[in-house]
Amino acid sequence: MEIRIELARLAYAENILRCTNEPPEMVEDLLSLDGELEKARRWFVFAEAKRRFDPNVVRGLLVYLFSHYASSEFDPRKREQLVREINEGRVRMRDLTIERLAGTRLSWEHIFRLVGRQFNPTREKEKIKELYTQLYASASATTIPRTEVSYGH
Amino acid sequence: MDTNYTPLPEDELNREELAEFAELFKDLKLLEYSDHPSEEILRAYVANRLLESPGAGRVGATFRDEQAFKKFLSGRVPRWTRSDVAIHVLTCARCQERVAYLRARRWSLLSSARQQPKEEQSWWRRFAWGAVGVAAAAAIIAALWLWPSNPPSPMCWIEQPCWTQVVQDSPMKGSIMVVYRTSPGRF
Repeated sequence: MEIRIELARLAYAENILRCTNEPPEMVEDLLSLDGELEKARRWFVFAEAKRRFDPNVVRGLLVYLFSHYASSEFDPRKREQLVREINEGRVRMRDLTIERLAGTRLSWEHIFRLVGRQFNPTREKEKIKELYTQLYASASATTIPRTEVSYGH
Repeated sequence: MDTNYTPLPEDELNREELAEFAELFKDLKLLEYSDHPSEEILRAYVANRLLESPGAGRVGATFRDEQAFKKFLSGRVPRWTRSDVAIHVLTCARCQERVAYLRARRWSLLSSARQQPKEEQSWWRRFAWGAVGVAAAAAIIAALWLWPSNPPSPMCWIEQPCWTQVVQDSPMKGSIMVVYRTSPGRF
């Protein structure tokens, strides 16, 4: 059961990347059925960041995360295929899955090509960490604040 | 949105590894499954033709309602969505091999398909086809330009009259004058 909820959280993260995710407040209960609300919130902050910041940059950070940490094994063949498709412009972020990215170890240049522009990954990462602190660090913050939802990108 | 971004040097750029988020994946491991997606489903997944949800909705099916979520948790999904297959393959050694095989096969097919048109579109072939097209167009324009507006007819000079005039007697109308052509062409 616990591992399936862990996988559900990953599936939710993948949905954030493809912009097919439900708003965090809608799935909070489902994704913390194993009592691991903190783990769920680590992904919810990406969904929230997508609402507040440049959504494509947040998606780019997720692509990098999946590409580097979803598998401990590097798959050079898979990487070669994906990099070629990225360079030829035949793949978009909405086509990607966590499995497709796992083990590919994409560089930031590849991420920028997918996103369509350059950005400072360190600065964007810090913004997400700040948002996490802002949303969930205080003990009183038991639920995610509701904001206007816009998924029109 | 940050619009005043100055590009970072490459070595500095590649130093950012988002390592703080790595622990989000630490519980990820291979699992034993009783149900696996069919060959057809996997082929559709590899070709990026698998839908996000059965109704092709905007939102993934897994979290649409509690029933769907329970089915996901049980590992027996009634209809495989793209997300279901991705998560399954990520954690199933058997399906990872199948997907790798299908991906390699698709890759080689696409590569050979890409090489084919490249050969046909070599510069000399395109040049030859272009030259033939230009020549054909020039021939048509020349023919239209030179074609006379009226069909050719033999000359009919005044010195050689091309008609003759005969007076005939008709019982009904009396004497009438009839004009005959003596050579083809117009008067």
